[in-house]
Formats: sequence, structure tokens, C-alpha cells
Amino acid sequence: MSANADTNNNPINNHTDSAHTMTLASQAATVSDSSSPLNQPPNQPNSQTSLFANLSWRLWAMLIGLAALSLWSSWALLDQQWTRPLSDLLIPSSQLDIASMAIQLHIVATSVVALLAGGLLGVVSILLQQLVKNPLASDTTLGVGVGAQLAMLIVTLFLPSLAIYGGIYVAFVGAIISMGLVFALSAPSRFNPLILILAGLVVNILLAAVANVLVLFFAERSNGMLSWAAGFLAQNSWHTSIALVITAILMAIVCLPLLKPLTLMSLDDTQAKRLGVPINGIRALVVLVVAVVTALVISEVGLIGFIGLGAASLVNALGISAIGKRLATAFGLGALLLLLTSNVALLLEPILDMQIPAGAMTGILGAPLIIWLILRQRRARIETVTPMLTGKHTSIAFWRWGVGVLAIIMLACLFVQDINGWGLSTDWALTQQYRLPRSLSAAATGLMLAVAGVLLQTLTRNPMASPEVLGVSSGAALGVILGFLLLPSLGLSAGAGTLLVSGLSGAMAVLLLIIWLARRVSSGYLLLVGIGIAAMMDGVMHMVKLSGDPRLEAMLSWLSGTTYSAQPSTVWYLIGIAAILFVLSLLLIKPLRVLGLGTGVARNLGVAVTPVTLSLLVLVAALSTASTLAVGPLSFIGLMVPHLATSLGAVKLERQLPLAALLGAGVMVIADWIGRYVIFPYELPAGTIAAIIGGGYFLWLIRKVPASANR
Amino acid sequence: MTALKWFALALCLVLTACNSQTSTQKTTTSEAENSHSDRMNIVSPDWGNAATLTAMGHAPIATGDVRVWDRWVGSPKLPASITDLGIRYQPNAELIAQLPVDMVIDNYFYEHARNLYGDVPAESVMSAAKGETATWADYTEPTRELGALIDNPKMAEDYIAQSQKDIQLASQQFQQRYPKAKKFAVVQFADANNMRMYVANSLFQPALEQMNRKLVVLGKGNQWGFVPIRMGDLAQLDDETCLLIIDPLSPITRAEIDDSLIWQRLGYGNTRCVGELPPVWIYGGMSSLVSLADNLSEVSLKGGEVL
Repeated sequence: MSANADTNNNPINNHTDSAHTMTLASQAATVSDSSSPLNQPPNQPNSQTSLFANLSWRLWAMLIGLAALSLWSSWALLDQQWTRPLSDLLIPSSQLDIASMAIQLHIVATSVVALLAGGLLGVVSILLQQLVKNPLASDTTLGVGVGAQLAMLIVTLFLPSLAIYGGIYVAFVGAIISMGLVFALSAPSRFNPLILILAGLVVNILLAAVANVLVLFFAERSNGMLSWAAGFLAQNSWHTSIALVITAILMAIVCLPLLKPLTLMSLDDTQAKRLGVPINGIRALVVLVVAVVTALVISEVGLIGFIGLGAASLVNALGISAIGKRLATAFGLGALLLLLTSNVALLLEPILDMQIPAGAMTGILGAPLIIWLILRQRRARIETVTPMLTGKHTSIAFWRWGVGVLAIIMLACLFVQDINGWGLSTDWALTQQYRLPRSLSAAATGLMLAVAGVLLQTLTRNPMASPEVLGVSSGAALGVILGFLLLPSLGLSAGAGTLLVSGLSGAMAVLLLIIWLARRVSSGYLLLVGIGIAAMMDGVMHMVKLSGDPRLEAMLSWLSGTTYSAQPSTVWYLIGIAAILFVLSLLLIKPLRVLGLGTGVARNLGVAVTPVTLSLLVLVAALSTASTLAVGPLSFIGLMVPHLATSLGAVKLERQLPLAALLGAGVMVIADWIGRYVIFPYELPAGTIAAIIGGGYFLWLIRKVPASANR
Repeated sequence: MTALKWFALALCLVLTACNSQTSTQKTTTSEAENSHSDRMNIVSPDWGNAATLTAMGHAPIATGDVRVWDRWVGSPKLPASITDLGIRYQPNAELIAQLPVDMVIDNYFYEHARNLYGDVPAESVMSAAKGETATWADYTEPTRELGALIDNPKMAEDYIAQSQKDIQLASQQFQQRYPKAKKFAVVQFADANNMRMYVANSLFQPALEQMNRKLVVLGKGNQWGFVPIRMGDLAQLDDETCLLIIDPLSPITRAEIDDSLIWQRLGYGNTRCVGELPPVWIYGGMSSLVSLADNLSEVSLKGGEVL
């Protein structure tokens, strides 16, 4: 992010005395070299003529490089597995012996599927980006894929007969529903880019949370689902290839007449309307096409994240503006990207001695890809309209909130379901051994997440920042998983201490990355990093699940965010850590407020920027790691509660921080209690419940963000 | 002196009364140890031990995931009075604390829940291969351990003997039905293309060995007793080897398998022999061996030279 954009952005804790309880303080960050950042397709180059030769050269270099890599990997695969003459690869399968046929399908059919699926996802992402004029839009970021996947999962678990040949329809319904949800949420703000992506993000995490619970509950029944969800591309027939070829041809036919209206619409809707373009009809058609194609790809090969986003972002980075070219290039790039990924996965299989799903690989490779991409987008033309939910400043009776939280904890320990059903239980032994520790650790975790959220939102001046969204929690979880898997081979025992260190290093690595990036790119892009890190964790988790290690069931339930392992002996440590970190964050309020005005201003006011930033980062990393270790990475407390505090009238940071801490504790205790007793003796993870409560609340909140004034 | 006589007589009466009461139950434990009942109350979150204990005649008072027991474990049936502990890997510790439990028996997959049982003693019993090949002893030993834990070694011995008889009976039945089927490969589908092949360190090795049959494997397994293979790898099996598919197999996967070109070419059900077995708990103990043998004795094989 350039320095001038920094100072133009409103600090989050800007103090408005507006009479509205909910207003949108928004401001377009004017990027120095653009005359009007709006009403342009993303990243359209200003002067096409001088750059054109240069651009096309870069495009060709990139395409040739990708193609060469793909070819090389394909050749390596053939060299490794195919013993017959090369010409035999293309003879009809029925003329080969079974083993050769299996290899032929494994190589050729898989490559065809990879090329087509990747290409289609690339096209889908470009269409989405044209539709909502947002360079971050893609099947992954808008939750289209997750919706389709969840629908498939539900049907597979409960109505398997429906899913056998109706997979595409089920996936289509899911894709439409989740897309509709995202669009419905961002429509009031006129598809404000960040609101749209945020809605997509939240829907993504929400649906993933629901899917997680289902998998946890029907672990054995969803066994086949797991490998499908991980996106195995390996083929054993030509069905999928044929289906995708037909889809690709139809897609081309459908897209050709759409090119002109889309070009007109990409300039300006009102002008397009004047020229007689049926805007809403075109939009509906594009949404339909996107949903159908995504559903088809997902029902055929499973969830393949990031390929579409990667391809579309590359197209944007190359600065191609003609819509036809954009679509064609996206198809080519997506195809090559997925082929390369699939080949790498197949080449790694004999080395790692396990089956590697390409979908998990794209997830793992997605994060570095995204980071590289957004670094290339130095002068990103994303309209950074910052939604800020500001509240009316009111005085807050902290003692009341404090008493409230204590009362909630008391109630959560007293009113429970036990072996005899619901009732008030005053069995002190049980309370002291099981109920109190779990409620208290939920409270401590909620407090830490809320504080981390406030600190991050103020520090990055991004109201959507939170440990969960920026991937800090995922980073901590990733560190813990890797520690769990790799520490024994290093001769260290995977105890609480070593896992804490590995979790901390994961969280810290992500935070440093985010801060390093925050100086270079606009805040909207930062959210992508979070998506990337979260996907990386997902990918690793899929690999781990497929490795068939039953011990990892425990890991899976921990990742869904439960206070299950809270102990009377350890909960006090957790509370102690939470208290210490909370006090430290209170001490940092002053310099943080100044930092929130921008680094330049802070320097002039005599704040030692680097040490303060660094200490804040360590603090956030510690908060995220401690809470992740306690209940896993999944919850929306850090995102939701700071806003909740603001809307209750804690506008100033000095008030927002303690109130958010109390609210976070309260919400988490309630979520934990619901999870523990609603379907007793079975349990729902507190993190998941919190994600559902928080996600729902947040979606309701951003629905109320009005359209920005400058449209 | 007369008082003493009366007292002795009364004592004898009481003792015989007690004895007649306990003779129906096979355990006798001192009443000081167990105030609430005269048998050990076991809680076993894990299915393997729960199934073996139930088959032995000493069912645990609670186990996990009772709701899907029938789908995954099948036999033995759990007693109706059993308490559901919730998700297996997250046994509801609060509920365990409310049960009159004397001991928790789990295995090393459940170590993370160990410190939640408070002062209830917890013991680990694991039925699994010690070396690269699972042996009969790998399954009799844990069964004896269970017998020792419930203070009834005889019950375990009787059960082992009975199990061996049951497996022999199943073996004879199978021999009569399919005398030619000698070699088996055992797989479980993850999806249409990926499957687990159970190998020498899985429970299929001792079960088939007891039945004088051979387990055919492709490669060395991991520590859980299977090797991941793809459908194309099945071509490496010879025509005499009969493929056993372990349920559950989702209808979706089934449809995809039927669509698979490789499956059609492999000719299972026509030129090669195939059979489908009801679920058996892979990480289970002795009772899993017995269920497996019973299932095999009733399996219907299709195709190949075996008929």
C-alpha cells in the first residue's frame, strides 16, 4: 500500500458523533496514477499502446514457461510409469492390457480432466470478476465451491440415492444458494468489493464449519467424501473427460454472444443500459453459467480451490483488457496450472508413499501463489471502500458487563443436562472437575480472540482483520499440526510445550508476512493471504486425514474448536496467560491509537513505530496461539466482537478493548455451553457454534452497510 | 458356646445364600471393593474392546458412538441398557463421572482423553500386530489382558476357546460352499479409484490363517495394517485370488465403480471371483476375528473358478 493511500484511509477508531448508530465511513483510496479507479475493469492498463508489445511478450513468456513446466512434468510422469512406446498412449483403451490401460487412464485421462477442469475454473473466475468488477472474485473466494461441496456432503450422508447420478444438480443447488447468499449480502452496498469478498469469506468459513461438524459426526460414513472433498483427479474411465469436453464446448458457445454486452457492462452500467444491454438478464445468465460449470467440475472431480483465482489473477497481472482475450487466457492458464499441480501430485505419490489429492495440493500451493500475485499487484486498483460500523458514543458501565459475564459463567455451570436430563445441578465435584474448567477456558479464549481482533483491526486499519480471517489462527494450527507430525521424527516429544512453540512460530510467521505485505499492497488484498493460509491448512489436513492415522481424529475434533480437553489443573494457566496478555494490550493502547493514524503521523508524534509494531505483533501472535491451542482455529469472535463493542457505543479504543474482551468471553461461554449440552452426551465444538453465531451476526451486520456515497 | 454355634450356622446360611446368588454370575468380588454391584463396571469408549468384552459375556456399561454401532461393528449386539458416551474419540467425561464405573479400558488412540477420567483407573488394551505379520497370539493376548482386568481370567480363556471353535465351524461351512477359494485379497474402497488393501499386519491375516486360507497382498502395509492402492493395481492379482470388499460401500462409490473402465476390464464377478462382506471393525480384537469368520462363511462369491 502506498504511503498516500495510508494517510487517506480512515483509521478504524475514528471518532464520529453521527446520530446514526450504523453508518458507513467509506473512502476510496485514490491511487496516484489512476484518474478514476472506478468504472474500470480491474487492472486495465492505462496506456495500452506503449505497453502492448511489452505485455504480450510477458504473456507469451509466462504461457511458454508454464507450458514448458507442464510438459516437463508430464514427460517425467510418463518416463516413470509408461513403458510402452509413446504412440500407444493414444490407442483405444480396449486394445491395451489391463495394467497398461490403468496407466493410460491414470496419465492421459487425468491430464485431460486436469486441463479442462482448470480451464473451466479459470473462465468461471474471470466471468465472476467481470460481473462484480472485483479482482478478488473467484469460485473460491465467493464461496461457490464450498456451497456445492456442502450440498453434496449433506446429500451423500442423508440421501445417497439422490447423489448417485444427480450429483451435478445437488452441487448446482448448493452453488446457487451460497452464491445467492453472498450476493444478497453485498447487494445493499452495491457490491462494494470488500463487502463482497468479506461476505464470501464469512460464508466460506461458515459452510466449512458446518461441513466440519458433519464430517466429525459421520466420520466413517463420510470416508469416501473425504477423498472426494480433497479433489482427486486420478481417473479410471473416460466419463469425466467426455463430460468436461462437452461442458467446455458449450461454455465457449454460451460465452461468445456474452462478450459484447460484458464489454459494455465493464465500462459503465448506465451507459450499457442506454445502449440497450439487458443488464440484469446478462447478470443472471452469467451467475447461472458460473454455478452450472462450478457445480459440474465439483461434482466430477471434487473441490479444487485457487486454480480459478490463480488464473484470473495472472490474467489481471498481465493487464489483458479485452474480455474475449481474458477468458481465453484464463482458460489456458487455469488448464496449465491444474495440469502442473496434478502432475506434481502424481510424481510425489511414490516418493511420499501415499495418495496425494490434487485439490489438497492446490490448497497448499495456493498461499504462495497468492502472495506472489498480490506482490505483483503493487498498484492494485481495488476500490478500498472500508466499511466501518461505527456506533454512537455512549458511556459504558463496565461493571455491569463484567457482572453479566460472571453470571453467564455461573449459569453455564449450574443449568446443565446430565445423566437424568435437564436440570439445575449443584454437584460440586462435577462442576469443579468438568464444567467450570471448560466454561472458564472458553471465557479466556473468547477474551483473547476478541483482544487480538481489536489489536489487529486497529493496527492494520482494516475492519475485517481478525486472527481468523487473516490466517493467524490457521498459521498457529498449521504449526501445531506440523509439530505433531514432525517433532517425533526430530526426537522431540510432541508435548504441550513443544506444540505451543511450534504453534507460536506458525502464528508469528503469518503475522510477519501480513505486516510485510501490509506495507506493499492495499488492505483488501491482505484478506486473500488469510484465505490462502486457511486453504493451506485445509490441504495439509486433507493429506493428514488421508494418511489413515486414526490418532488424527482427535486432531480433527480439536481443529473444530472444542474446550474438550480443558483441565482443572491447566485452566488456571490459560486464565493467567489471558489476564497477562490482556493487561499488556491495555498498556499498548496509547501508542496503538497513534499508530492507527498512520505510521507517518505516529513518527511525527514521537512514537517508536517499529518496536511498538513488533511488540504488538508478538502480543497478537501469543493471543492467537494460546486461543488456538485451547479451542482450535475456528471461530468468528475476533472478527465479530470488536464490531459488536463499537455498535454498543465503545467507540474509543480505550473502551472498545475492555468491552470487546468481556463480550468475547461471554459469547464464547454461551457457545461452549450450547455445544456441550444441546445434544448431550454428544458434543458440538464451541468454535463451530461461535463461528455460526458470529458468522450469522456478522452477515446480518454487513447487510446494513449502505451503498457507498461515491457511486 | 451355643451362641457361637448359632452364629456359625447363621454365617454358613448367609454364605450359601450369597454363593447361590453369585453362582449365576461368574464373578465373585469382595463387597468392600464394589459397593454398588458384584461385578466390575467397565467403560470402554473404544469399540474393539467393547465388542470383545460384550462377546465374552461381560459387556461394558458404556461405550462411544452407540448410534452407529450396528453399521460398523454389527455383532455382537450391545445390551439395551448400555449408555452412549457420545463421539468415540471424545467420550463425554462428565457423563463417565456420573456413572458407577470401576475402570476405563481404552487403547492408545484414546490417550488424549486419559486425564479426563479423574481418579477412575484407566487401562490400555490394544489388539494389533506386534510385528510385520499379525498372529493369532496378537489377538489372544489382549483378550487375556481383558480377562485379567475384569478379574475373570477363566472367562477370557473360555471365550478364546469358543472363538477358535466358532472360527473352525465357519471355516468348515465355507469349505463346503467354496472348496476352491483358497486365496483372498481384502480391500475397502475410499472412493471409486482409491482403496485400502489390508495386509499381513491386519486382522485379516490371523482370521484367514485360522481358516486355512491365504491372504494375498500387494506391498507392505503401514502401521495400521493397510496399504493404499488404486484400482489399476488390482490387475497385478492373479485370477485365482478372490477379492473381498469390506463394507460399508456408499451407493455413490458403488455406481462409480460400475462405471469404471478398469473395473469392467478386470472382470470381477465374471472371470474373477469377488465377494462383499458386511462391516467388521478393523481395529477390533478377538470379536472382530469371529465376526469376520462368520461373515465369510455366509458370503456369496461371484465369478472366477471358485464355484
